[in-house]
Amino acid sequence: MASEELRLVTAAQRGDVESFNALVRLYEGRVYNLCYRMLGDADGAADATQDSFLAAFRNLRVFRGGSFRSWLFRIATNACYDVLRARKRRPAMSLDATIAAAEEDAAPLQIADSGESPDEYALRRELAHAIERGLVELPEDQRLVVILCDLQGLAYDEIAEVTGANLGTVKSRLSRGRARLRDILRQGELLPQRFRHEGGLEG
Amino acid sequence: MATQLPQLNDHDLELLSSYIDGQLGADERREIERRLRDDAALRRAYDELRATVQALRDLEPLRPPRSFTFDPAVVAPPQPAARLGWGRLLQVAGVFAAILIAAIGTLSVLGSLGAGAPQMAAAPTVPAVAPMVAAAPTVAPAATMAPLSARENAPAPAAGAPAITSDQAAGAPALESAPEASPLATPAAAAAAEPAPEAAPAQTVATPAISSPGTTDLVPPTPAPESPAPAAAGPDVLLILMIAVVVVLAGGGVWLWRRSRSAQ
Repeated sequence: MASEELRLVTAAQRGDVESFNALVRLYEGRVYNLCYRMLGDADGAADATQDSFLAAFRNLRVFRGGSFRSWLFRIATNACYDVLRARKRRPAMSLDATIAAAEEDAAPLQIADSGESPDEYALRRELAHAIERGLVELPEDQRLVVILCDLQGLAYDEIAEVTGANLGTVKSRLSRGRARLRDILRQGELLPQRFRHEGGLEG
Repeated sequence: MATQLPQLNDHDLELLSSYIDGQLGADERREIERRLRDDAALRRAYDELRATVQALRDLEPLRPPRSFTFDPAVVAPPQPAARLGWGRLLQVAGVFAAILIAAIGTLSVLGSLGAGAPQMAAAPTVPAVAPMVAAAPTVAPAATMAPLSARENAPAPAAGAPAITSDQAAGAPALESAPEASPLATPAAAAAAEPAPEAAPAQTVATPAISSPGTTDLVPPTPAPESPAPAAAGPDVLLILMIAVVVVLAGGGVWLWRRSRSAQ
């Protein structure tokens, strides 16, 4: 897989657009999801994804090997930060509007096959919405690390490569981001029942 | 029924987070596992954090709204990796040539400053902006208006010349009254110092062109028929200068061409 990716990258560097398109097809889902979770709206995520691939295509000659995925995610991350900075300068979209857009854009959850009851389905849906809301409310650096680790499944060292932070900073941001989300779930009483801690449970 | 929320310090929080991801070393892992067995509050905090991480990982990925592939017919291929090709070589050479021109120009200015006031005063007859055009008024009197070349005749033709003549005729007294004209003439001389060396070869090349009737009519009776080119501008220096100018132009052209391609 890695050798095939390397072959595609090398061919694309020589100007083969079809090889680059193969790379786009390989990563467009992940890049779009990264942008979507960072920005919280579908249109902004689509634009940022397009910008990311365009920037990658134009700068392919400066890619000097290593992980193409990390390099591409770094470009996508920068594209998202550009959008977020522009929003701060001209806050046409408030945080509430962003959260509402995120909920509106969210994919409808399917009822699980394994006999999930309507109550369980409703709870799962509520939990997903709470997580999405919570992600948008996280500080950007924590949000990025949580997305890269828990949604994209990257290892710590690759997250460090994408974000340009050291391992210690990655661990710190990740634990803080997760703790904030945990607090949000706690407040909404959305943690699974067995994890809710009542006074009587304390030994 | 009061809810007791397990509170952790940052260090323990980070340990639990890394433990969930299996990122602890063997010693740290053994230590946190021992504490989790002994400390119920820590265990509850771990359970909560793990449930949060699980909820995150259960989020369903979204499907992109469209394909982000490029149309090969529309997209220009990316530029190949940077290499030392002719274009880049010309760009580098252009920079060095520009430095060379500046150095020779500076030397020429210094040389003309040291040559004395009469040469400085003569310099305004060569306009600084267009060296090749500037050669025409300098050479024309010598080539086609030989009878007017004497200095004492200068004021008479100036009176009957077209409008352009009056401007240049105004410079003529500078030759006669050097003390007053010097302060005014000095900046012009400095500005003209760079193109001045090019005026010398232009004399031989441009002679047929400037003998045309149209050109002759416009040419004022320049009071300095002798070439004002500084002595420092020898043929070898001029050759170097001309080559350097060509290299600068070529380097600049390549740079502009590359820029326009990358902008596409």
